[in-house]
Amino acid sequence: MKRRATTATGLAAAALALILAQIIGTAAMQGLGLPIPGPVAGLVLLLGVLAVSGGIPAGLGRLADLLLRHLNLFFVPAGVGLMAHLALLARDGAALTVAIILSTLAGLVVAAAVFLWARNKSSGHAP
Amino acid sequence: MIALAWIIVTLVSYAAARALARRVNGHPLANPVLVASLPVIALMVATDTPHETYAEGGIWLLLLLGPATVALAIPLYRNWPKVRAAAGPLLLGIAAGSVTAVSVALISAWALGASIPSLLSLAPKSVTTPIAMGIAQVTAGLPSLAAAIVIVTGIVGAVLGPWLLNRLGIRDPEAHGVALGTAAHGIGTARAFQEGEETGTFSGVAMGLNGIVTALLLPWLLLWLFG
Repeated sequence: MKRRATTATGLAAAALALILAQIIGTAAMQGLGLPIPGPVAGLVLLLGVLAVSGGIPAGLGRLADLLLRHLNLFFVPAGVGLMAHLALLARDGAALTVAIILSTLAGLVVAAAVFLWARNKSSGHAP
Repeated sequence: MIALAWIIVTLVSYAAARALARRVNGHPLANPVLVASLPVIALMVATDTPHETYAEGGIWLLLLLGPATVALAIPLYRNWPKVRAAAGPLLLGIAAGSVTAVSVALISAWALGASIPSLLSLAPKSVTTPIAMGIAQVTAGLPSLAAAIVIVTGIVGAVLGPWLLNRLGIRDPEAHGVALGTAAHGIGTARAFQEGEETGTFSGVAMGLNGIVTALLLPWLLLWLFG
């Protein structure tokens, strides 16, 4: 019973931490007039706090795993929201499709090639 | 009341899409967002429901996206030793892949006559959906179009990426991971974990770093280009 209570408190504290980080990040970016999404600023902030405190509280680890495992659920409204942009899709759909395929393959190959090149260079002698 | 009903429809549809994805071992084409959205749209069309009605309920799920984005810090922190060990090559590979993806996307879509709202929604295509939607929001793109583009990007990368890299003679597991995470975010990372733990971990790290760096830099570029 005690253990369950601690876990529930831990989860509530974790939820509070995530929401607070988002609010602080959003307020800071708006205050500074920076075009950076508030939640991303919150992510960087939380990463900094974890690095300083040197560990992940159990509740935070559990809540993050839960949220990230079901991340797809939060996008379904966005998928449905595409309905509102059918006219734009009819106009630009083909151009977007070509751009997506070309740029994704180019990005993949360049990322892999540059990573390998830099790793070989930094290790001095290839294995 | 009606908003609540649409949340339930969304949850049921999502649960079914997840079950299907598991049955086909997480094949990229069975992407749960894609699969879950279609029945909801079909039901809306059948019942003549306007999107505004759905959005009243859907906003509750979208609200969770902010805290979920912040939560991306946790896997990144867990893999920090790996990030530090390969920091230089990792950052160079991610930066090069990211710049390539953004510029090829913008130039080719622009050359094919895409409109400004489409270009703004296309630019954050290789970062994870919550971050891409956040970028679209601050640059006056269309968050839901950005989300759809991100998902298609992930599917293209996950389906064709490993095949293309192998054909080009790139078989190193870490390089596969960096490429998939940089160019195809979460969907690419799911594919990377099917190749192996090491590939998956590098992909997850690349996805996280690419998302952060892109969110910090891309809006400036877009404001300068289109502002």
